Amino acid sequence: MWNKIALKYCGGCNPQYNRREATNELKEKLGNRVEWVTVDSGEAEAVIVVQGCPRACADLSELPDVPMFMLTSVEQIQTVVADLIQAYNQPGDDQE
Amino acid sequence: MPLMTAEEYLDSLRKLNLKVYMFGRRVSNPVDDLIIRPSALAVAKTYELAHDPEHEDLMTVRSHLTGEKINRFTHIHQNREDLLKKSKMGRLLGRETGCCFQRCVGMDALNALSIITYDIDLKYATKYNQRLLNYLRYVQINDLTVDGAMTDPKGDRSLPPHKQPDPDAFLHVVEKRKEGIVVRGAKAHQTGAVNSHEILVMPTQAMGPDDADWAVSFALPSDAEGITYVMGRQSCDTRKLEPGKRDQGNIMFGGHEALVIFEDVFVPWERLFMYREYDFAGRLVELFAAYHRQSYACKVGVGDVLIGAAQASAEYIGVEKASHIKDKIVEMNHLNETLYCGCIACASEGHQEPSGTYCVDILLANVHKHNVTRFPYEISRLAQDIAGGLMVTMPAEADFSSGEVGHLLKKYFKAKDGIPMENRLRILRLIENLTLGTAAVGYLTESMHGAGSPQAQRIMIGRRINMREKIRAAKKLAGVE
Ligand SMILES: Cc1cc2nc3c(=O)[nH]c(=O)nc-3n(C[C@H](O)[C@H](O)[C@H](O)COP(=O)(O)OP(=O)(O)OC[C@H]3O[C@@H](n4cnc5c(N)ncnc54)[C@H](O)[C@@H]3O)c2cc1C
Repeated sequence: MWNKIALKYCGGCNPQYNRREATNELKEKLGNRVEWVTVDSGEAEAVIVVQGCPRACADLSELPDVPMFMLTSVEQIQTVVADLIQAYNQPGDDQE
Repeated sequence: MPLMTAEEYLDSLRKLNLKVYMFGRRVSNPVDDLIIRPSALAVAKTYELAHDPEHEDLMTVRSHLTGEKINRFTHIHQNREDLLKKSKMGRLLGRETGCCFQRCVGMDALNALSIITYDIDLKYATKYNQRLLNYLRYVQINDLTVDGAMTDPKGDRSLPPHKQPDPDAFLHVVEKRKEGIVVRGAKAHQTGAVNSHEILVMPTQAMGPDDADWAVSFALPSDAEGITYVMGRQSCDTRKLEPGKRDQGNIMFGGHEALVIFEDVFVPWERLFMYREYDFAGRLVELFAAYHRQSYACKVGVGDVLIGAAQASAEYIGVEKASHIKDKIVEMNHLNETLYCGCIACASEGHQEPSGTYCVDILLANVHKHNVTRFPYEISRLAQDIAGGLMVTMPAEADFSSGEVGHLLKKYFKAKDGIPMENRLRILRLIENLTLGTAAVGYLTESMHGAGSPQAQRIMIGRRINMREKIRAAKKLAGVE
């Protein structure tokens, strides 16, 4: 099953982890379950907000009204993946 | 959309007809000049990152005038979050460029003028604020880089403008016409002047009634008739002309300053934001200086680069686990993050002015900049300690490729096994660049004098502290009636 998901980043002033590596890992883990779209495409069914630290200061005011998943550390990658799979996929989908 | 790309910005500079001199010669094409180009590329980074999803959250914002997404460098701060994001943007860009990216001065000038023009209008029923907002709209829509020009050459520092033997020591009005005024003088140390589309002039100090002709603020296109630029030279600048890039240290970016000379330049009324209101000159300087002292958040980002280079250098020669090295790296980080505290604090404690603009806490902005006059020097000292002497005794890149001595240099400058010698040399050159070379202009001496010399901050700290409250608290606890 495909879901259209967008990534929104904080500005990256002083990130406590490598946000690009983290999103690459996220993309790898989600594999072909997800079609990646941009925030302003009007197509996103969910947004993953990649925050460089727990201060989580990304401006969310202009995001589409869809579910949001917050990533504020590398340790959370697995949780975000699990939450997304639970929210969007039927059981067993993650075996494909 | 009013957001230029980096390429569009560089092309827009090529369209300017600037009169630039360097090494005694006129520079016909500053953008592509090997010495100036790295500084244009540093400004271009402020355009590039505005289009980068990983950074646009800091680099862009909605204009309060047009509702359009604009570059934060053209924005008037509307709340504390804007002030905070400005500090964060400074750190980000300092880290991404490792140098002065030049675009903050114009932003700080626009914000200070958005407050002062409103205040002048209230007192004198002038129309400066609306003029400034019209100008701001133009800057935002065209995503322009603006040089904030405050510092006059100043001649004898003990004399006010009207008592200077040469009246041009401070920029001043020489003629009033129906359509505008004519000005003469100069602005010194102008950061990024040659990379700017506009120049925004302000008086440099508080003034009295006899100095009214010197109390003038206006904006002009940077290539207006009568403006001449003479580039400042930087230590090691001609390395940029050599074949090979390694000896430059920072192989991508740099900053620049220039002396900007105004020889009887015409300014139309609609571009004037202060004209003889000498009683507002001091407050304008105070406001601009406060914003600009906050802007030294950028030095935290440059500090990130220097600390990273020092750590890498330690790893290349196998000393990274030594306790004194670890301690020095901790100390560098401690100093750097202390600087960060200051620029975040003055933003968090910002307040709204009657004009609607948010202003930083002036005391804390001065404290922040005062730390900046010191800590980068200590961070540099520690970086040089960790780097070892080779950062200043290393032969030129060309010697390493010489058929006669190259193999010997490679033999004797090899560090830890498994570490390419090239990596070590590059990192050492970067440390040299930041602490002694072209980038030391920005990281050290600009930290000292830019936005005002240390004494200027001490005066402001003295003025802004509520001493009576401290005395009251002490007396109460000591039982003094
Ligand atoms: C790299 C760099 C970039 C800069 N960029 C810009 C820019 O983009 N725009 C801009 O407008 N300005 C810019 N400046 C200028 C900066 O604001 C000035 O350097 C600063 O205000 C000090 O002025 P000055 O250099 O003329 O020093 P000086 O006035 O020559 O000061 C030298 C010493 O004399 C002391 N002194 C000066 N006057 C007095 C006095 N009346 N009484 C007692 N002591 C005094 C000072 O405290 C200092 O210790 C930049 C400066 C640098 C170094």
